[in-house]
Amino acid sequence: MKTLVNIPGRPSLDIPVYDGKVPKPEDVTILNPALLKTVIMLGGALKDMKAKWAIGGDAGEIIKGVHVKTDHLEILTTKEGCDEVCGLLTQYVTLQPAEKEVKSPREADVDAKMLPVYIKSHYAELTIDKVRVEVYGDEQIKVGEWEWGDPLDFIPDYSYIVNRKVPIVPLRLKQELDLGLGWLDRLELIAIAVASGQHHIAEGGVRH
Amino acid sequence: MSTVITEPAVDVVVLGLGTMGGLVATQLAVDGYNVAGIDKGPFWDFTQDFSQTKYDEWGTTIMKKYDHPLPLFTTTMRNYSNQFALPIRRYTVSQFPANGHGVGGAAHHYSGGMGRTGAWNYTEASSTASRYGPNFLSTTVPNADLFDWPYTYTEMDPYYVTYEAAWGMSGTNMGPLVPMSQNFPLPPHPTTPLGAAFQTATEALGYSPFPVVSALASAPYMNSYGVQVNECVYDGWCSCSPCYPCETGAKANTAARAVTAGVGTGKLKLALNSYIFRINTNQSTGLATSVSYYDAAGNIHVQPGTAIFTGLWTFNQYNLLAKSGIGKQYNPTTVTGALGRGACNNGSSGTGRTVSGTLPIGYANYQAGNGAGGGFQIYDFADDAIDHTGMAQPGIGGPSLSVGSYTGNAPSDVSVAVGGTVNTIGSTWKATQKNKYIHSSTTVSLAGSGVTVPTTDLLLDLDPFYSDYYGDPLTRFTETYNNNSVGVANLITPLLQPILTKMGCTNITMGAAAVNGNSQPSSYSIHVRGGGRVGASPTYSCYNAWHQSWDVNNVFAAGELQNTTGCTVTPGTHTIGPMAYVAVDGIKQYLKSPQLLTGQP
Repeated sequence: MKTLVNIPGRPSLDIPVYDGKVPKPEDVTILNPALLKTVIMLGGALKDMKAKWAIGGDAGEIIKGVHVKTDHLEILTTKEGCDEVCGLLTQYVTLQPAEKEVKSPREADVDAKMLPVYIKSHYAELTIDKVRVEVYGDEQIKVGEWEWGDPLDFIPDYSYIVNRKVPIVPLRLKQELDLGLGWLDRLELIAIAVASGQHHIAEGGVRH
Repeated sequence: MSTVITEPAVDVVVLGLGTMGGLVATQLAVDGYNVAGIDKGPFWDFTQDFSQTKYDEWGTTIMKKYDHPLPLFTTTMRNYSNQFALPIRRYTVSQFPANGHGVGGAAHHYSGGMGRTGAWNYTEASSTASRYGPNFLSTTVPNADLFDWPYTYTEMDPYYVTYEAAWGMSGTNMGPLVPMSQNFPLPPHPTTPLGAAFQTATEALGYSPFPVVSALASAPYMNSYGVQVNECVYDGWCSCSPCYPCETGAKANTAARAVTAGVGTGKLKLALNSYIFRINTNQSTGLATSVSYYDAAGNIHVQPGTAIFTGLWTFNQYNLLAKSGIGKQYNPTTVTGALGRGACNNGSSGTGRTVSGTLPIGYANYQAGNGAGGGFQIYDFADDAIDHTGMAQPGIGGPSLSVGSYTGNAPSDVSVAVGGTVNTIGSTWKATQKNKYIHSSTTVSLAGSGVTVPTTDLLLDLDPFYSDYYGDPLTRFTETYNNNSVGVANLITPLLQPILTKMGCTNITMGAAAVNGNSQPSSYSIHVRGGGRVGASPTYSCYNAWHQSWDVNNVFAAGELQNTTGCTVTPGTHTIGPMAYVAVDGIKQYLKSPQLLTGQP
């Protein structure tokens, strides 16, 4: 075993070195300052919204500790919620609410077949201090030629973002979507994040 | 011979990556400065390193595997200058769990008890003189060495807010005696039945109880650096006494809250398992030029920097500064020099007086919880809230009182094996163990006490007889208690009895009156304060209000060594956390305009 000290001319001491997992910049999971500031701002501006809403997308996962990166924010809400967000933040709206359907850049991996993924929603965009905020109302997903799924619905989790309590799309919903789409790499990242916050009672206490 | 490696120069070299150094290194990196952070221990990653802790109570509790290895260096101690100081060779002195090892430092395994330092503590000297007269303390502590801090609580409030947002503090406003411009970012932990009883009783008596403030996240959190924090799982393995680190990262320290964000900027370079042995200075410029350290392979590295910040633990920081000739060593005979001066134990240590009673609410009634949460606290007797006029024996300060926090411990802490006697085996002994682990009642104790006043005969210096593994002298601590607390204990403790009565306690017993001369410590507090104080003058302090060295202007420091006085509240971390951000502001000013800084934070 390596020892902590190995000074020439001094006796060797039996002190183990704990190498640990030294973080590298690419390993670090943080929400960048611009996004963080905007989430806090949204938490305040939308705190009295009538419609259900939550921070979703990759930023929502980062807030829950998932190791992903993003340059924008997403709000998941209802159709009425999308209109309400735009009403409350009129000065920041850069794309008015409208029905929108897009093809996801990533395909689903279902039963060893790669299938296109379509997303439709009542959609709007805001730009707040140069941060793009995408608002998805009653988002639905379709895989290949299947039927459209039901609008995504959820009970928000809450995280305290510095001094603001903000609703976040629960990881359970993300897990269900990732599992259904066969995005197992994303599922694994979520599993790691969830495990990091749990009390470990398994033999040996090993997480993953 | 060791190989000497010169590292690329940086803006700031940060020594130690515990609470102080980790925050300073991170904030400066986030602000765009190139920073080198050096620590004698590893990077502790809670997701990898602490998941088996609770299965290794022996290693954690007895062998202190997450602590500083004492064979490398320790400290010698004595009560008076005419004694021969002896080295601490085992972890029996409670200060040593405060000597962290690795990124995050000792905060990996503290209890997480927090609480802002009240306004009075920053002005103990002038407030005492103006309220009670300049000679108030002279009969009790004739050699008091008491000074005001160079900044006030009001000036520190924004720094508290910054620190609390980074740390993710749980609690609520601490009441009228500790005004806060912003509440803590997280709500308090759920209240225990005992905490609720204390809250109800003290409210009924007109006091201002508030939930115990905690550095353990009570809810999912993202801090001001964008670092995600898991919430506490209340599984018990938490308290500082057995030194449990947190397997979910809910316990705030700079590894779990800050340093990763600094690394993420690409501006913070870490040198770990690296022992710093000198700050090098240039005699002609009077400035520090670099820091020398050993890596684990025995190589010597020289890390140049425009400014140096040391956030090392109290004794280690003193040792490095003294060895490096930064500051003039204090001489207790001539009362000159400031380095080593004013060192004293934590605020309310020393003689106290206790009143206690029994309530039929025990740990059996609530979960093991965590190391700091669930209880309630009052500051109504703290600091100078009670009028000290007319005391039989003058003294200053008063206690913060808390009741009802979780046990915070593992279900079965390790007990050292002993030979079997009638007291340690058999059915009689077993019967005593039942209530040891499943308490059905609690003895509630409240104690009056004052602050420990720094005196001119107490100090830190370099031991002339004992050296460390590297051949350098150990730090020597000359420390005892003074009689300040005696009069305060006798004044305040009788006032606390109605609280126990209101709570419904039975068997209420008033302890014997405190008396002078019985306060010599057999064990020291974890928190030692002073020895490299901040102050308004270099005659008694080493650092100015910006935590800049009076003597070597590009050296900055923060930590308990920089405390000007002892404080009422125990949580040293909450007192020093804000200092880190004052130092950051000072360093940024210095880098912009290299000179001795003036003005106030």
